[in-house]
Amino acid sequence: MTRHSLVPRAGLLALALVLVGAASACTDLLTERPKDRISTDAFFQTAADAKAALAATYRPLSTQSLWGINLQWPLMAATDESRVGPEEENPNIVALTQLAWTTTNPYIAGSNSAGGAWGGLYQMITRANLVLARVPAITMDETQKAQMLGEAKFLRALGYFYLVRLYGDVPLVLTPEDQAALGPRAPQADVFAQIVQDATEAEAVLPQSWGSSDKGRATQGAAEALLAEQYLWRGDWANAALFAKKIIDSGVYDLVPNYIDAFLPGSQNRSEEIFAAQSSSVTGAPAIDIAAWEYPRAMNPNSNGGWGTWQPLQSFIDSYPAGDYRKEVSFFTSGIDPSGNVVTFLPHVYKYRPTARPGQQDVNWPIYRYADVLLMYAEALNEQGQTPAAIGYVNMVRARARNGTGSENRAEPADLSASLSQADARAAIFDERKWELAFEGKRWFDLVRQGFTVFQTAEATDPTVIPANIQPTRMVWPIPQAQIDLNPNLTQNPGY
Amino acid sequence: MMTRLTLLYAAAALTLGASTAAAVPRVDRAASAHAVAATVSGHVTDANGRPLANAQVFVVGTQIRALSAADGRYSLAGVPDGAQTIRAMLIGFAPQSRTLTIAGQAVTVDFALAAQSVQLAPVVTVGYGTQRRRDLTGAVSSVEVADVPVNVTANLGQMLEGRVAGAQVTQNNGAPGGGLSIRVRGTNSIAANSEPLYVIDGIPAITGTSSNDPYQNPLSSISPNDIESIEVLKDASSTAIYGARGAAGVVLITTKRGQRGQNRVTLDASYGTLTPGHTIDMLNGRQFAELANEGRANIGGVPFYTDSAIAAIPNGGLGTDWQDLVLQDATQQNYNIGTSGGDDVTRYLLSGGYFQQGGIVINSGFDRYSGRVNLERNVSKRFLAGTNLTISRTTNRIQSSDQSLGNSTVMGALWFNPASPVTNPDGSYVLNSPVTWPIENPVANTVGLNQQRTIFNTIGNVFAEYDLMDALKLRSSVGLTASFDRFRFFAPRTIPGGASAQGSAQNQSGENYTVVNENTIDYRRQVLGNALDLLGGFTVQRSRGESIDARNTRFSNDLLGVYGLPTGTQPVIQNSPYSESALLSYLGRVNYNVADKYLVTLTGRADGSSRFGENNKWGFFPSAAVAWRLIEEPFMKHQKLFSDLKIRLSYGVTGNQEIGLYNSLATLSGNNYAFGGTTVVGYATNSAAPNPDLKWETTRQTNVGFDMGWLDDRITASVDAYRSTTRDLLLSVDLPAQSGYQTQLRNVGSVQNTGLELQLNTVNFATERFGWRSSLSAAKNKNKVLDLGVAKQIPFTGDKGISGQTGGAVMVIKVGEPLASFYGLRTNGLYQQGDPCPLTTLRPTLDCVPGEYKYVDTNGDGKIDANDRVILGNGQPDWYGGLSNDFTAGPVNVNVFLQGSFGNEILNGPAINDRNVSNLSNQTTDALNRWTPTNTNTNVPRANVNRPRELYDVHVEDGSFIRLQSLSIAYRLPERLVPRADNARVVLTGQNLHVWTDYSGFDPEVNSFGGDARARGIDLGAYPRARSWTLGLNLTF
Repeated sequence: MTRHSLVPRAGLLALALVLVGAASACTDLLTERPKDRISTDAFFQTAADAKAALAATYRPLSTQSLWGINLQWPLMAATDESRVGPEEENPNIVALTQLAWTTTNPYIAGSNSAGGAWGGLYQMITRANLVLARVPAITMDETQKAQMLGEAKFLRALGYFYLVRLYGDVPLVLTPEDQAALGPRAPQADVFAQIVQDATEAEAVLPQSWGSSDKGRATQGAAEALLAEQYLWRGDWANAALFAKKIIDSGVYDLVPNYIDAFLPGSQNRSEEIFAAQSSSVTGAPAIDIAAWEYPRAMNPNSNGGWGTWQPLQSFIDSYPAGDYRKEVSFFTSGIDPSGNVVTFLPHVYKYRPTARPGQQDVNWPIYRYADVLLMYAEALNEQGQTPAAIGYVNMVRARARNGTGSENRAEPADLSASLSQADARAAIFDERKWELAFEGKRWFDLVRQGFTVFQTAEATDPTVIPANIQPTRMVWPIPQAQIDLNPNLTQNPGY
Repeated sequence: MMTRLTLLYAAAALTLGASTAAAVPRVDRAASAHAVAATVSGHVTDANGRPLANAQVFVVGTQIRALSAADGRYSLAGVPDGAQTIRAMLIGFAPQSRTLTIAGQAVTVDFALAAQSVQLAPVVTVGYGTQRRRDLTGAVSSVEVADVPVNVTANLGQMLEGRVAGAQVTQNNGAPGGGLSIRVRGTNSIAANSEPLYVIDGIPAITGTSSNDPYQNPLSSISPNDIESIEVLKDASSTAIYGARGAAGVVLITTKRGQRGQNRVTLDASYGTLTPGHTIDMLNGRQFAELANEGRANIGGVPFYTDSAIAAIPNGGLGTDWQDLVLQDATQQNYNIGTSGGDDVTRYLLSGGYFQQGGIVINSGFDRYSGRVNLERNVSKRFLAGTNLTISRTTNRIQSSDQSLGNSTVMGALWFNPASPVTNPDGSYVLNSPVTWPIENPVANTVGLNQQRTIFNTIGNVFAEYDLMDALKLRSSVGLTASFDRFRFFAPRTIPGGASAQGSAQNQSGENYTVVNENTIDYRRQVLGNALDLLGGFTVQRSRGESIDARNTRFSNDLLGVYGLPTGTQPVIQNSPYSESALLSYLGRVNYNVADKYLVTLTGRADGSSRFGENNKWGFFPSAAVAWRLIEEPFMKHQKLFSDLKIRLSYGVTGNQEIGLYNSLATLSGNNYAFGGTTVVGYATNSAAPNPDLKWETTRQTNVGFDMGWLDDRITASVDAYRSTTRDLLLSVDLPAQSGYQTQLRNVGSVQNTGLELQLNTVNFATERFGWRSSLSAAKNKNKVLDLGVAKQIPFTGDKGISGQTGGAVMVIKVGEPLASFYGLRTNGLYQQGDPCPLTTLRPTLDCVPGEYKYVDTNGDGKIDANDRVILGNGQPDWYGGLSNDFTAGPVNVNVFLQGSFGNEILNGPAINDRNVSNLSNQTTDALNRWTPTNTNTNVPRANVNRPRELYDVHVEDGSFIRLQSLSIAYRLPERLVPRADNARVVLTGQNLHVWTDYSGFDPEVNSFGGDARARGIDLGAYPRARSWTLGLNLTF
């Protein structure tokens, strides 16, 4: 074997240089610079960034996180207006109707850390917090910036208002740093103080209305409606009346002549909608597929039918005044299946009518509309002893229903007598809310406000109900068990 | 074999120098003393007629000898007259002798040598080099490619199945072009990849994937006909040279190349038929209608079917046999043509092939066009340059099967209501199954659904080797793997997938490429009389990928299909992802061979990966191994028992970098909203929190191995025992919602794999008339989860439609248990009238009702709920392996290959519905034996339309099986029939001829979750496997 004493020095040196050179030139390769997604650090530089972060803050309202499913299903199924459909096989969904939910029921608690409505609401709050933390430093038009911060504050207040009503005490996180701390539940009073502060600050900067391309954004009226509703919830009648009246006096809103028009596609452009979870069939926008859960299986759930996940109780349908237009347009018992055959079925809700199911889910989920505000104002007046004045506002709502498609003059629902007692008026207002705001996610909170007293009698007619479950501990939902597991600082609500 | 020998000489010359030179055969042209001399010539081939180069052929008792050339030809000149014995010998083959009388004339003597032992392939490919098998310190298995019926093998992965102890190959389903999953020494990841790295001709071409798509098959682009050898690196000593990609094992694939010698042309053609293996007995229309009615009646409901409706069931009450309408016989064919050859300076191989396999499910199939060029040239005495390049195009027509439990053509064939006709009176399809869960009409799908994936794939490199001096060699290569794939989907309005959308079209295309530059220096010299081999290297690898997915719905007609994409009215660009990654590595290896007795290997690789978090960019992966060849010791010289004995010991650290891209970063994702009815783009932080500490998964493995030979190596065995512990497993850790995130990826988990492997090769008979050899591979692996971070168990839904059927997790990952355990309710027979009721809270119509399951209240809280779920089984086998028997008698060769798996369970997904004795799907005929007040002695519960569909222990079945995987009968045609051919054979091959199993589904080899480590052995209605018979012809000129 030939022996070489040394590799040629020059060759070795060149080789070493090549290797070292290649290595140092390449180290930079190891830094990840994604091109198909945006890194958080590169964001929040411009007004457009702020606008995008704000749009994302609205988004959970219209996805499965909130009104898409997590708020919709339990708030529909657990009330005396509707129940889970009798065809439903999933015991966890049936439990919603039975108020038999557990701390791990996926339709209350979500799956794993997603957390159901709890998770959806904190998602919205997280995004609002990020806007409030990062947008102030952006150089941009100050008026626009203030409005954006107002929108974020409104959404944060709305999120906490749902949280505090559904769960009681909840962690109050207001900055990204708060969020990392994983703190305990804050007293309801603190949460409400924050809701009032955020909503009041929002009210001060938000416009009365937006241009056509911005319909759906929070307005001054939306902030006032939120303030009115949360005061109503807390029994602060004077303040509830104050903010409801501001909306009425603003002249921005009106009842649409035909009740059903308030729900048809395009409601964001109508005078009745104050704030709604926007749903659009336009590509890329979130859509709430209400019909998928509302329409009957008989029309084929994979096609133009639905799963009938929540269906009206017969007792609820029967409770309307005879001949009430709202009853006629809110339910249907026959439709057309994908093969074109007419099929009949048990009554299903027909209040939300997307342009096409599936494919064009363009019906907004109403959160505040003018009829609601009129009834809130009526209730606040009545509780302050101004019953006759209150009845006047209830009758505005009833008059619209009597007009039917707009120009009818029906007998029912007839005007209420201005001489009702305060207690009778209270019951009448709650009834009116039940009919007028049916299937809008309001009934559960009204049942809670009445201490479940109305609930027990009405729901007893539902064969799927477990009357023993209608008890005060069920007025708040359980904190999702997974959330407690992940944050030992959280405690469970009593009764769970 | 020729390559290996060539390499052997190269390696021998370099590493051993003069000390072993005597072992290298030399041509001795010493002239004979006899005056009269004849020439004896002929060919040396293996039993299959393939030419054998470098065989020693000699005249016994003389110095007359020669080596056979690349084409197997030899020539012995000067053979004296008289009775002479000519003997041919080659390592790895049984020697053969012929005695004949020479009388001055030229004589032709051909030798067909029977392979003596498959383990004796003397040189094996290892990472960044080759090694003599006897010098190996690590655990490396080779596939005896010659035993594989490549002409009927659809893809390369199947060549490993049952042939490598320690590599568990699972064909996920029976679909043509369907995917497979390979696990080397068990599953050692949870959320990241557990599939091996594939290195093709030195190019780290394919990294494993944890994709749960059962059709994922990275190997389908490579033609099995092109494969020369396959080695599987198993222990840390052999895989640590691949560092952060070595933890799941490495499969080294070497393709055929040209040999010195005359030009050769090979032609292979085969054609065969495929038939469905077996069908599952389901209820007919009337039986189903009666059951549905009974199920309703049992809970006090109104019947689904009136008497007149039952009377109207088509075909006299038999209704529709959906399996019969969906399954068919099909054909497969394979054609290959190649030419190769070379001389002292240039070697070449060109080949082209076409493989086509029809589907036994109508409107499905697979085909592949492939071509290959392998070239190398000695540019100068010290400089060698060459290329290996393959291109292929595969097309896979897909009928959905196990992508989703419930919504697929195969599931439709089982579950669709048999009382329903296929079409409505107006001729349109009954879209969804009535009365049952609304499953899609499978016949409509087989007729109308157009779903196909085409992949254009290229793998190649250009390399150069330069001998700087005799002992020092530089090698540099640039490799490229690139693929262009396109997925087309069109569902017309006439079938379920397109009805509501009025036609649904998708056209997705993507391109991915990886460029890798590898530079190594190899230094070999004698140090203190012993062989030292040093290897150092530096590599850079960059990958990019992007794709675009365009969809549209609401077409005015179905005429244009997928190419009418622009004519729909709801166009969507679903996504357009782009990815980029890089890997920088330094590697080194020391081999030291002391007196051929003591062998030491040290390796190390430092990998810097872009995937790792900012704080953990570089990982280092070292290994060490020693081996002791006892057989060389003086004290072994006198024993007769062993002809070979070696002990190997290795320990090392390897990594898994397949933790996904961009997982450590804080990024935003699109979160749009609609204002004014129009889309406004929104961005929000991801639900997964960033983690700058994210890093590779780390596996530490210890291996002890014995290589043994008896009776002159007629019996050889390798036994390996190993234990590997993988830490820092990537897991998604939940975060509370108030944190603003839902999850964070962290390196927290740990799993352990312990196993034993046996590879046994025997030559049972080796006479000139009859040869019989056997090869057994068997492996046992025990997998255990050691740590899951905070959690003690993680229920895993996996989904793919499972949660839609069961509403919950059917799998669990639990500390102390194997990965991917099945998780459900235990039952204990049926509740009979009068049995005591142990429960306090009863579910109506279910608990303690005669004819219902006796659910076991495992937590003793008096009620049956999700908290009573327990582990019901596991999809990982205790033992798996294969047995090959090869018989040669004259021109006939018979190969029988059995393969099996033992001790694993299968989660029978379809059974969750079709053995639940309810109306929600058609039922298997087991339901005919259901409990009724008059038929109480049964284990099939009563009909009940309210029985929850959950995982019960009755849905978990023993998945053990033995498969007669292939039977090949080859006949070498007499020379007079094909006079110009060097080799001419006809081969009849049967595949999947019989399965011995207790599993009640289509096939026990099933894995609907593909590469996903969290779910193994789950059957979600997998495409049934075909039985095939194929007739082939091989010609070599």
